[in-house]
Amino acid sequence: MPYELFLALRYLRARRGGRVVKVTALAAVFGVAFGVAALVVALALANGFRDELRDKILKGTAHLTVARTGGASVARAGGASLDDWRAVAARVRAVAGVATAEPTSYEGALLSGPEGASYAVLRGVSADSPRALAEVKRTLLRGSADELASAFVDKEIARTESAGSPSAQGDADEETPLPVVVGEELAARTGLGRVGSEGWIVSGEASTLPQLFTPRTRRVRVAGLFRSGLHDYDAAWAYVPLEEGATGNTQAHATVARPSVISVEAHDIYATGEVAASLRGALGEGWTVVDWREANRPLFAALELERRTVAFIIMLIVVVAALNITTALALLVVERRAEIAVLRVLGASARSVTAIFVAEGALVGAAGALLGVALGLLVCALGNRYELVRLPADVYSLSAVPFHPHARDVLLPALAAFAISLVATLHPARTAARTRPAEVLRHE
Amino acid sequence: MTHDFKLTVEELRKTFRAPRGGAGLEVLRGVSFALASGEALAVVGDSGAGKTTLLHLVGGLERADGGSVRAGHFDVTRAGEEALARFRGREVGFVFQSHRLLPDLTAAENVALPLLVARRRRRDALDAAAEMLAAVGLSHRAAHLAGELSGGEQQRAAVARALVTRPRLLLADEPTGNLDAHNASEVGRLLLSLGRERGAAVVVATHSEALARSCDRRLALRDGLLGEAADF
Repeated sequence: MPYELFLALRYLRARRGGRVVKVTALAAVFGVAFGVAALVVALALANGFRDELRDKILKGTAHLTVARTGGASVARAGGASLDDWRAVAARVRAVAGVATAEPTSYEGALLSGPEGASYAVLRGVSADSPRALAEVKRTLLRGSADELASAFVDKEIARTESAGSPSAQGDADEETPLPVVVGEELAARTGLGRVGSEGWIVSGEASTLPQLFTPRTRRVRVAGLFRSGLHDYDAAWAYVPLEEGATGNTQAHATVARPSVISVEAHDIYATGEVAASLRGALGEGWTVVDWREANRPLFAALELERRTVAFIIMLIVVVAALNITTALALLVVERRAEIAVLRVLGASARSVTAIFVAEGALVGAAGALLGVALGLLVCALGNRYELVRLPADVYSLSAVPFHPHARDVLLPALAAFAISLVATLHPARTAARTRPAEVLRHE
Repeated sequence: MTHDFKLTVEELRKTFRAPRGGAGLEVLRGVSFALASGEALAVVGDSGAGKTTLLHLVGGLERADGGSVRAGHFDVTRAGEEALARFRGREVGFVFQSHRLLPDLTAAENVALPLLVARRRRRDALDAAAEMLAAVGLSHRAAHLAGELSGGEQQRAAVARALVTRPRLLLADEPTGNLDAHNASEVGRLLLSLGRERGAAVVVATHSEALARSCDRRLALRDGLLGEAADF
């Protein structure tokens, strides 16, 4: 061990010395510790909130969406119909990194109930898509989602059994309203908050002829209600059975959700950028591929900005705490002037004297940083165990924000605090190095 | 042990300038002397005569205004700060009126400190310190903090610290000034005997007649000049 570190350690645990120096040094240790702990906790909380939000978004939407180029936004409005979705899905599944590829739709429509009408995004759930169905079930509040998958299967059986005329088929459809699982907020707005209540979906089709718009309506019955925890989804989404291969529309039987988007699940949610690039290469021109981060870029950008702002503000606490190190060392240098002079007499270089006090400050900074990390992780653990940050569950569908202390967000504050502590030592350490031994020895 | 070392001081001058441009205080006005290895010189004189200043200039702790100090082949008056620090660490041992031990270190650690500063291994430094403490009769106090030693013990430990690097120049500034007669005699004896034994050139600034008489030569500092000490 270099003697500089040996002396710094010995000064730290010295029994003698001024009370003010000790109190200031302790204030420095605890100041840095509280600053680092606050930073660890704040970042863990921001991570937890972001991760939860991401998970909720990924539960409701695809990791990537593939649609024919032409729609305004793939995530919000249906693109061109994908009658050949099976072939497209097969090509998508062949791309490296893709786990599943299933058809869905994001059709815009009006959902009308006893208490009013509201804009709705109709999410088509395919009978061949157990993953999509499972996701609906996970957020289901009341009722059942099974009918979404069985609606058209049952109807195909009914069609086969009746083998009747098109009018007979139309009558059968009239008797069985389309099952729909409605977002809680949307249901409240339209008065469709009770399982079994009935309403209408109103959609339409613009013709290529100017000023010609053909409205279509479809009777629906609420099979269930869901709450995802994301207001945007709960206020606008309604899951309907995806009518794969359905042909033709009549006034009585309007197709409301036909495959228009291939919903892709990637093996790694953080590699969706690379998978998207591969998909674009594999599918060629005429396709739009959007990954979940692109689709939600404004939200995550806002969260990241908030995270950085909080981190910056809390970092100021660490800076202020580090000033205590400067004060403590400045006092220590005054207190130890005679000893510094003796060290210089014994042959210690100015650099060595600087090193002693830098080491002293570094030890204080390191102690504060380590204590802060321990304290921060403890608060995170307690926060998770006792759900310290509670949220109104009816608003967020999340009773508490979890603390996710990622390794990087624990190490960085600690290292930053340590670095700031080192900077804080420089002035007093240099003052110590400038001590003129003869002058001190003559007067003290 | 090297015996060809020689300390040569020629026409050494030092003036302390007044802080606001007033008349300066000329402390040394051309001091010259030479000292060989194993030789002990006592410098006597009234308080404020410039004895401490002379030792500081010889030991490279202060800058002279004129003249020269050569320690062997090393030009003390023209060396840079870092070279002077190395010179002090390797070639010079200092003993002050007050022991100047580091209070948070044990006696052994204090004595080992010059060797640690010279980047010797800790084990070797502590072994050498133990040897020196034995030489000054303080083995039994090695593990005690400096503040736990008596005044005489502290000064004996300071002598051990000054000699642990086997310096070629030993500078002692009133080494017995704070001690009672018994301890003063003991410390003076150790300082000179161990210094001579190790071949150091010893310069002692003192008011003590007994200590001055124990030295090989005595010079008196008066009015900034060094002359024969007739009173001793």
